[in-house]
Amino acid sequence: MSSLKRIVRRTFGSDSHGTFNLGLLIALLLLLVWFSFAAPNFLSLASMANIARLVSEVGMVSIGMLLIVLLGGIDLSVGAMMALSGVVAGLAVQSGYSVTAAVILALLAGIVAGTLNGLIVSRAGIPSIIVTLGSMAVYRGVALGLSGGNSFAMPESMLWLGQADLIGIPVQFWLLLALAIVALWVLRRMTAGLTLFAIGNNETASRMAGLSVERAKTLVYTACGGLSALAGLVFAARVSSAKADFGVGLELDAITVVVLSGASLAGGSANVPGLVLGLLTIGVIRMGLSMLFVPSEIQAILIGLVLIVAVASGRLSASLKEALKLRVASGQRAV
Amino acid sequence: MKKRMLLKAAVAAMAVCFAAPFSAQAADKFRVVVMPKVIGIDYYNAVKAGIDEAVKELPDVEVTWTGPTQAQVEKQIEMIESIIATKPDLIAVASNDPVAIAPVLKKAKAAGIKVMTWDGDANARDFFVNLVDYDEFGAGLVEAMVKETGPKADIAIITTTFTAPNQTLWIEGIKKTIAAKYPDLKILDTRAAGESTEKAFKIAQDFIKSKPSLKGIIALGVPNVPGAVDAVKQAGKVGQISVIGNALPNMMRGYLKDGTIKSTLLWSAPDHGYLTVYSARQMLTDGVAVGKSFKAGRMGTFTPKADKVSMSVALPVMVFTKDNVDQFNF
Repeated sequence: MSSLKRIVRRTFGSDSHGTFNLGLLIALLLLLVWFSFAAPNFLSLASMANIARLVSEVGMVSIGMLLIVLLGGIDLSVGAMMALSGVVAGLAVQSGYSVTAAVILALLAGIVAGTLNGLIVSRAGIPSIIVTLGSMAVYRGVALGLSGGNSFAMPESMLWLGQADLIGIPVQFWLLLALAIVALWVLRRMTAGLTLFAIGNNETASRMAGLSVERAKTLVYTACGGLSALAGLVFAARVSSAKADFGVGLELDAITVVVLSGASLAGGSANVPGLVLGLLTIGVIRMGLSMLFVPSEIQAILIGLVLIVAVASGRLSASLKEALKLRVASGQRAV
Repeated sequence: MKKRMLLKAAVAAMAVCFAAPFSAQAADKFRVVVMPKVIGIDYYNAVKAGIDEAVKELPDVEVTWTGPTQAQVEKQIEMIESIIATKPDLIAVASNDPVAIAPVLKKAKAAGIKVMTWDGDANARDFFVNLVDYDEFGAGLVEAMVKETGPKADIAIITTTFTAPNQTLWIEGIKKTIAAKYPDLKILDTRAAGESTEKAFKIAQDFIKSKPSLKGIIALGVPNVPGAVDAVKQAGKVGQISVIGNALPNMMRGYLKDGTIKSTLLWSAPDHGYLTVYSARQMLTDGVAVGKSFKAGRMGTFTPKADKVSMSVALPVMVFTKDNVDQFNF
């Protein structure tokens, strides 16, 4: 039992993100309390389940984005890959394939798309923002071409993925939690994860130390593509249809969540618990403000403000810490 | 870290201070939520004006106007999910996608909320306030064309896409009217310009060059009409080739006033909002049924017609000319 406790604590426990995550958790709880007073019916099982259902797709994609950001990259094509996978699934079903085959094809589409992103970024040396800006347009175009602008109806047997609950909690949220735990395990406890941290913090040194940087870079994009495809399937199941214009803007939502988790876009850090907490915080804010009928424009401004405040206060406290360290190190008295 | 959490709490506090004046309070009124496809464009601001007018006339109806900042069905679905928890009496939505929004609307119905659509239809709703009756609009377009070209003429059609349902139904309406009343009106060609003024311009130019007998162009699709009009103007054929289409009065005001075109067809956006509110109230008081007429204030009587999903009413067609175009702002 004690070794299990040790493993759990090593995996989920205190590190440089511990205090940050605690702060996030407290903020989340405060928001829940606040909204439960301000908006009638807010603190109900139904509303909480709704929040969980609505954040799951962005959450899955954010995990992929987190891995890419860890290496200092970015993936703007996640929304397009999400739409593409939905369209592939819909087309497959319409062409007579079984639901299982359709799901596999859809996931493959995302994996292939993601791998293409990764190969170009790692081999051609073009910045990921430019590569994925282009691939975003390409994949969206492919989705439009395959679907002809029409929407596909999702078969009944698939709808549980987006619409069913397991002990009151939506299926896709359980899936998200499972993926988060896997990501956390890989990052903290497996060599692969440590490799990613090494590359993210110092790519040149990693390369010289013999780490396979190109392969790691390609694989994170592959993972992101697969996760986007999964999110696309969940969304298509949730709205019972697939169309090429779904998921526009998803990339920005995912990046927002990753930044809110405290990750630097320059790479080198990843905070999975913080990601989930940040995701839930945004979900709570959006649901709460919508229930209060705060206009969408104002909602967007407020979420932007939360993001700026979170990042700014993070930077502020980090630079304050640095300044204090320098003073102490150089022998002066701390102010 | 305490600073971060304090700052976050402060932001939340700001949010609630903003929110307090917006939260719905009234006890005895019907609470109706009206959601457009997107917030903040002239067209829907005009619809809102009509809604406000109706609300003034109906003291027992309270309308909350809310919508996404981008015309995406996912955002609408998210908003409706949260609105369901506030338990309004009725939700009236202009959907961006008829299929994707159906599950959440079914959920609303299961929660005891009445569901209505307007402008953009959905596959699950109790009532639909359509723009204009398709056949009526097709007939209106033909009549406006015949008024300028006479009953014997060669015309061409520019449409948006061949798959958009309202386009195909309007074209069907045009053909039905021609077959019934104006057999000498010949449609030489129909081409698709998407929703692009430049593309419509090129297609219109092609028509003018390749069809010397052309007397009229029916341009469907709000961005396409000015494209076709410009092509006619640049070819120097104003007065010889008539352009009829569905376009916003604001966009066409200049052309109407300088005589490049004589009329343009649409429906009244404020009337759409007005009728939606009156229909909502009818649903919540006396109920709606196929064939059961009801009065919608100054717009007169409407009788719901049965359709594939449930039933609907439609707006009357509106013709804008240089004499009445200044009364409208959308």
